[in-house]
Amino acid sequence: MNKKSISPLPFGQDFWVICVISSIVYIMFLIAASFFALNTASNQWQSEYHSKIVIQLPLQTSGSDLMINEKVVATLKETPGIKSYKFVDKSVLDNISKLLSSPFMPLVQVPSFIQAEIYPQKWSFSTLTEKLKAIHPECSVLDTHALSSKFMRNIQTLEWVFYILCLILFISSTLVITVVTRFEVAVHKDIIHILYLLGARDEYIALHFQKRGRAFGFKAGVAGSILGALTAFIFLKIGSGMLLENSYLIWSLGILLFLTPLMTMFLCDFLCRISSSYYIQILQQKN
Amino acid sequence: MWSLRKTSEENSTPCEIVAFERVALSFPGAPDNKEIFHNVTFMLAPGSFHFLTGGSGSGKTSLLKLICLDYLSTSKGNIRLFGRNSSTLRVGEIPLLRQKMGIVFQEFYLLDHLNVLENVALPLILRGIDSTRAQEQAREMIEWVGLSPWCKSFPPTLSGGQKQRVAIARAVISKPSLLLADEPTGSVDEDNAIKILYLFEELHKMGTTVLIATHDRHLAANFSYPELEFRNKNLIYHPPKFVQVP
Repeated sequence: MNKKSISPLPFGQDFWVICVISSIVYIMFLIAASFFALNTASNQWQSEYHSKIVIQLPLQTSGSDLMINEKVVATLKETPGIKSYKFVDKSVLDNISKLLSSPFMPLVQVPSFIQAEIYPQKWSFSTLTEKLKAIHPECSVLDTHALSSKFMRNIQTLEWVFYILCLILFISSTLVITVVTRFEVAVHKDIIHILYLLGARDEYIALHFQKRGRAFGFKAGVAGSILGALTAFIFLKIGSGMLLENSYLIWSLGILLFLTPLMTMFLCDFLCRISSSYYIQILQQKN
Repeated sequence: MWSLRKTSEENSTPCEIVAFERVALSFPGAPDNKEIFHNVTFMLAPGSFHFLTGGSGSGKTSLLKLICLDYLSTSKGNIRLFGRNSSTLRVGEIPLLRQKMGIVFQEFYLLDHLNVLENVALPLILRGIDSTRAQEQAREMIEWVGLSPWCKSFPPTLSGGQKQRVAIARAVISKPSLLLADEPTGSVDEDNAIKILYLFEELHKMGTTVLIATHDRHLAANFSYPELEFRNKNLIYHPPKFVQVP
């Protein structure tokens, strides 16, 4: 006995629909992955540099210049809003220069530094700068706190760009699914009419469109998210291996990889159901 | 699941399965606003058997389509089906009424992508019966119409007569209260035509109301059932020509 369920509507190959939807899923996945990566980077930046400043000292070549260090330290101790300070070693400097060389930051050369922790509300950039200039004209303050705030603002702007892009992609995928459903209803209008004459209800016919939407949604979701995850991994590996060590980012991408096919499946299922019901009703009214 | 809301007109058992009262049908898009028929009044009592005759293009198929609630928008007059007035039917109620009917279409309307077994099982599936059970019943029905070897064949590979028998099996599988058949003997020879009509007669004996549209009045003359004849856009009632001896 043939136990497979009977599909009264002979739907065509879904290859092109899957290609289009999976491309949209792929782009959305990359956007989401970029969003998570930026979020992770900004959190790292904020935790490390939001309440810190870096004081650039002049190159010290003679014993008399070493007095500058002592004067700067004394000034730091007197300045309100400075919590603590330390001389920065080479590895930290490299790290800072790497972060500062991101596209959002100006390239900064770092000859010699003191890193100070501040109370962001209490300290004054201009007061400290004036005091340090008085000690030596080449002394300057690199306000990582201000840079961090600027960086966060840039991230927030990018977040909005991502939201708008996601909205555009969501609308386009909705349109694709709706147009495909409309096309299929038009192509199969004779079969739908026969099914009506045999006593089929709207729900029964819409159910087959829904099942089909679920199937191609899942396939497109799996294809798009796997390709997206691979691309994101390659970009993160090339761009900054540091981010790949972050467990938050890895978990976020993992959850995204798991949820994307499911979300795509439910979205396609829902849209096919709604749009097919609508177009079937129109078809019925015409008949 | 959507359920048919019972109204006062439905609470009582209908004394007619189909009732037409001064029904006219025309197609506004056709040249001269082509009127197919006008002032058609008739009634099919439960368990009755009627032939619907008339020449080609006289309106037989259109009348059957009106009964199965197609072409409603272009008709005038009062149509009652199973005690329900067609003008007061909601869209969701139409499938439930259609499920009480079995229809043999002139063009067969078989679904080419489904095999014979699946085509015959379809009405049961539409009524919510499990696919496996539906196909079991369909197998019996196919055996009854003598098409067992063609169970897995697809309609395009069948002859006209075979398609006709598949269409008949599909129409009767759900044991409908009303069987409408449009030229059910059109694609078969005279012997097979008589056999098919005997098959409908068997259903009629089981209580099904039967209306058979045919252009062949001689075929109808072999049976002692009343005839509704389309002549000059009117429907004329002819009582049975002889009384059948039981």
